[in-house]
Amino acid sequence: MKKLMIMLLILLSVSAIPVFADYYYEKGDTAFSFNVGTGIPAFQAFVNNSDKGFEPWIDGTHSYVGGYGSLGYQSFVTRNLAIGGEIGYAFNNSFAKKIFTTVPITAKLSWYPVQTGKFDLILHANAGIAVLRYETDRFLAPHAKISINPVYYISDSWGLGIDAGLWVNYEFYGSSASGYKSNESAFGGFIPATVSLIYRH
Amino acid sequence: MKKSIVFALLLALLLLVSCNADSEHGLYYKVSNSLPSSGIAVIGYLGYEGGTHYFYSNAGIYKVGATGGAQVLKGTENFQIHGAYMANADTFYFITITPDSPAAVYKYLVSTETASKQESLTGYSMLFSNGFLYSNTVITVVDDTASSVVLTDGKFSTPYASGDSIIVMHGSKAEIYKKGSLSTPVTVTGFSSSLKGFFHQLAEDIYLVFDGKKVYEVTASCSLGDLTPKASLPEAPSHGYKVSTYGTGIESYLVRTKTGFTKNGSWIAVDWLSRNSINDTNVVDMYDMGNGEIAVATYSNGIYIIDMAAEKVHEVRL
Repeated sequence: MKKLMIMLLILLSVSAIPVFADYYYEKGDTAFSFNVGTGIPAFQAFVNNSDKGFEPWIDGTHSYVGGYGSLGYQSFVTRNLAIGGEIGYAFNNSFAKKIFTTVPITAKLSWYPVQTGKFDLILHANAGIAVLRYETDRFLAPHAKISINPVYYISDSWGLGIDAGLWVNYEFYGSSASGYKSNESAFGGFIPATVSLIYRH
Repeated sequence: MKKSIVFALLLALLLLVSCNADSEHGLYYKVSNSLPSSGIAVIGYLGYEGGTHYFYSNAGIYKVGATGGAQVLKGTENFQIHGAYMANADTFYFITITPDSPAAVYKYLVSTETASKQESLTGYSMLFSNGFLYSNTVITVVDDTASSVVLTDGKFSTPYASGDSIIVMHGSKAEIYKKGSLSTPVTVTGFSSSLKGFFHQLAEDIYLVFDGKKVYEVTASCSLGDLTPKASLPEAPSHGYKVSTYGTGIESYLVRTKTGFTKNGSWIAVDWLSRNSINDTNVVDMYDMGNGEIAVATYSNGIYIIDMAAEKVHEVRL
């Protein structure tokens, strides 16, 4: 969490530096984003369980590649910084062919260091919560995501790009958790890689 | 208005947070222990002979060696196997269900690849992996049909079979029938709940019976009230226990309950079973291999071998 705060502060500080003298966006402009694509299991990191520890990729997480989609809305608060929100839905199968779903609901901060009118390079940082579900169990987890999103505009309003990054959920259990869960707190990492459709006005 | 929306959202979030309160394991933990299906739905474990495991599914009788790769000994197409018994590595008995004809007992010889019908069955029938056949209130042994038991009072419940014996409940009373002496059952009275588990240890010719959470050792006809429980298990099962001993001492037994495994009445605290994913499997049978190891047959994840002394588990891939 501390690292995330530091990262956000750095992002805010850097955002004040104009990369290009000519800004395309004005304060108050808005953008809708629609993302759809795939999600790759990146890792599971068990913090209190020496038997498991850090388990990367498909073989480590016992999860297959799945899908991810999201909707977002943002408004520019400066000429290169936009804030808003995003809701998504991700799914992937475990080795047992049972579906694991994640519904992240986040606040979103986006920095536009490159903006030519025809092309944007956007860096996103999201923070919020995610509803995790596996079999009949659910968990509300803190959620953070960073991603990079180059976009090419095919018209004044519509752009097409690629959005890829990394998100982390934290399934936290205290020492008084029932069953075996007190030893099973874990970070879950996931790599969303999507095609993004942007509508701006 | 705004406050009530925020309150409703917070309430919804709290409800969501509490949803995993009753679960034994975390979500990521369960995912990390998930296993691919073996592709063969094991119904029962038949035996271990010459380094080979024998088991059956609805679709056939199989064998698999230590290195994995199950082979079909007798496949089925037009019927389902409903129960099987391995007399030896060449002789198998099984009962079948077909859509158009009554259930029947067949004998199959691997060496000649021939199946011969032994008898047709009427009513509810079960063939246990130790050879006991329960059919329409009659208990027999399929490769020794000279003697039989007729259950006449009509109030008995589904039997459990283990080792050389079978147990039948009549209300709070149980009768244990042993091969070779079917006419003189051991009678145990005073059960407070329906029987959930039964184990006959051949080496010492004693029985473990499970009355709710309590485990009793029985050697002769008695009342449970006169016996001291050998152990009190931490969990009462919702359905039948799976039980196996793993040596000659009666203190050495492993029980599978709904939640996990208990060793001699205590949860296995060290997570060496969970670590090997076996805790999340649907266990259909456990079998004492006679060398301190237990074969655990699972419905869709193959067979595991548990070395109880070394506390190690390895998987036999089907």
